[in-house]
Formats: sequence, structure tokens, C-alpha cells
Amino acid sequence: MGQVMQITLVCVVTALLAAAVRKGAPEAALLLGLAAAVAALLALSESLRSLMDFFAELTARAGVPNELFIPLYKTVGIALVVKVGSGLCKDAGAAALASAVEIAGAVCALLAALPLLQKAMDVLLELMG
Amino acid sequence: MDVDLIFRIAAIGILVAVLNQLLVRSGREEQAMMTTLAGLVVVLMMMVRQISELFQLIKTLFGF
Repeated sequence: MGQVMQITLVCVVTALLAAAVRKGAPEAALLLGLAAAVAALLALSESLRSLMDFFAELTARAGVPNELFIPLYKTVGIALVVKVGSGLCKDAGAAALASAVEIAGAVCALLAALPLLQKAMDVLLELMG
Repeated sequence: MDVDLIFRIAAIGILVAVLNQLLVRSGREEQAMMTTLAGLVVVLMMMVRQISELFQLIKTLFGF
């Protein structure tokens, strides 16, 4: 709970600073946004790690092979990076680049999920004979 | 959290903006442009390590 307050405060203060800097040096405002995003995500690392450990334990106890969940984790990571990256591109006023980043994220997420789709297809083909 | 870095970047941004204005007002546009570029490069150098750290974290965390 404290962490979310902390991150919110840092992001809001950074947004204010960026608004102050934007008139004189727009690129510095953008870098400020990038720095705050990176700092916030790095600050989240501990919580994220404990969450992932819990998920790993859960899958281990459920008896589901871990490789079934790896594509899921990868997709979450891709989504995290792509969301922030496309937001930064939009902040810089480059909506086309933001769309390119989002498309790249979608393609890479599908690629990461490909083993899973392959397995599902295998099961389906087996059922159909 | 790395709040120091954010404030440092904000300070550099303000400094660069003021220098830019000063140089533009005194008619040295190309030097103003150089100042802006130098500020950009300095801040980028400061951030590269953080960004690589973040990517490394995401790579290890999500099993890439």
C-alpha cells in the first residue's frame, strides 16, 4: 500500500516537473518521463519478484508443468515493456511509432505464446484422431 | 526508489532551458542547439544503465 502511494507521488511530481521543463526543453521533459517510468518499475521489482515466486509455488503444487506457464509470464513482461514504451512514444507526439511498438508487442506476444498454441493444436488433432 | 535521478534530470532540464534561452537571446543559435544536444546526451548516458537494469530485471523475472 505504501509503495503504490510512493510511486503515485513520484509520478505526479515528475509530471509536474516535466510540465515545468516542457516549454524550455521538451526533450528533457520526455527523458524525465522515461526516468520516472524506469524508476517506478524498478521500485516494483521486489513486489513483482515475490508475486512471481508465489505463482511458481502455486504451479508447482498444482502439478502443472512450469513450461506451460512460461509463455504467460513472457507475455506479461512484453505487455509491461510495450505499454510503457508506446506511452512514451505518444508523449513525444509520435503516434505512428507508438502503434509500431504496440504491433511489435502483439507479434512478439503471439510468438511467445506459440508453444502453447502448438500444444493446444496437438491435443485437438489427437482428439480428432 | 531512484528519486535522485529524476530530480537530477529535472535540474539538467531547467539548466539547459535557461542556457538555451540565454544563448538564443544573445544571437548564438547554433551554440544553443549544441547545449540542448549536450544536455540530451548527458541525461541519456545517465539513464542507459537504469534502462538496461530494468530490461535485465524483466528478462530474469519473466523467464526470457
